[in-house]
Amino acid sequence: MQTDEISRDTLAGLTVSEATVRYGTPSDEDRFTLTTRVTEFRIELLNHFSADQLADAPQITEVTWTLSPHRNLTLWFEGDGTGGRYVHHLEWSPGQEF
Amino acid sequence: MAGTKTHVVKKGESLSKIAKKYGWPSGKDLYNAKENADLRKARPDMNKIEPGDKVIIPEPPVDKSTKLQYRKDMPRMSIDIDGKKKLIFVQQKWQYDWKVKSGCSAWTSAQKKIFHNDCDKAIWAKWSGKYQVACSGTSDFAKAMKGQTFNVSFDIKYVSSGGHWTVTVTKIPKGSKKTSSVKWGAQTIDLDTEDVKKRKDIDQVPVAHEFGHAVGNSIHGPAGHGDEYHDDGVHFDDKDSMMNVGSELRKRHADHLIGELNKMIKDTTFEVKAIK
Repeated sequence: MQTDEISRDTLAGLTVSEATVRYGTPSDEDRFTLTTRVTEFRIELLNHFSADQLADAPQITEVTWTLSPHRNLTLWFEGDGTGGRYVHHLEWSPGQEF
Repeated sequence: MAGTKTHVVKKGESLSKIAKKYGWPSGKDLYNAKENADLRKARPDMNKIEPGDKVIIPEPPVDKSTKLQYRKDMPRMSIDIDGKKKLIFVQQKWQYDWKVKSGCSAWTSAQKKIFHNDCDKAIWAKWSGKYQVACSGTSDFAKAMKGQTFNVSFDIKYVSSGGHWTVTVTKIPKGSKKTSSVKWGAQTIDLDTEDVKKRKDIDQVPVAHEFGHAVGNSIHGPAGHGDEYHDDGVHFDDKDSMMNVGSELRKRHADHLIGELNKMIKDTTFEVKAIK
């Protein structure tokens, strides 16, 4: 069950540093080059990049926070390091498999 | 003839040894099977077969009192074992909840049926007829099925109540993306209308992958393993695998099924012998 869904508006323009201030220490972090060969978990990222943009091999930073025992939040940022800008997010439960 | 094999005799083999290998009661029964008329003509003495002789191996005779059909209903699927047809039939009842993403038209009855049929076809194509399962043990069933292999079929049934799984399907604009997932504990599946199409850049139809979770490839289920694409997983490099980003089945993907089959018939153990 997802409660108090986080809207895109509240995350727009957010950097990794700012998100870390807001949500605390992440439970997981990853960095990857976005291609169309993404896994189901990351598939919604493709809604935010055109074919031309994907051809430039955008670097994505993926950061996950455990908000509660039943709720995780993953934010994706374009760019490396703490200055990457928010692209997309997914709220999910630990019981979900993708 | 279905189930009939030909065995070429090797040096040192006897008919009783060959009969035992294929689950026949005795060498004499096998020798006297009507399919072996040519062998009897060439070798009137059954104890004098020679290397190179061909022994036809029909399906072994089954004691009519042996129970050959078993069924098990579980919270997430039902399993039917049919010894006569050499078939293991796995069925999940899917109860749908239809959603629409902003900007999409409402679902029609026809669209719902088409979506279900597309799921069924994708699952059938990717999962059915692949696993070759055999059994062994001391039960009458195992003895009757010795040397035989079972096909495994996977099916989903559209139901309006009493579903094993509640399947929420969201209609989304063509070409757009939405994350799909399965919750083993809650018995829910989240899909979207793009999930019945093969992905463009990976060899996978998403609904077949999600079905893999529902049929037991879940870290929350008894098998204890699910997605294989996490970079800390042992099967991370097996990109062709169904539970990674491919479409090929592996023996491990049937772990839950085999575990359940092994609880169905006393003194009978099933195992995946091969994958087609």
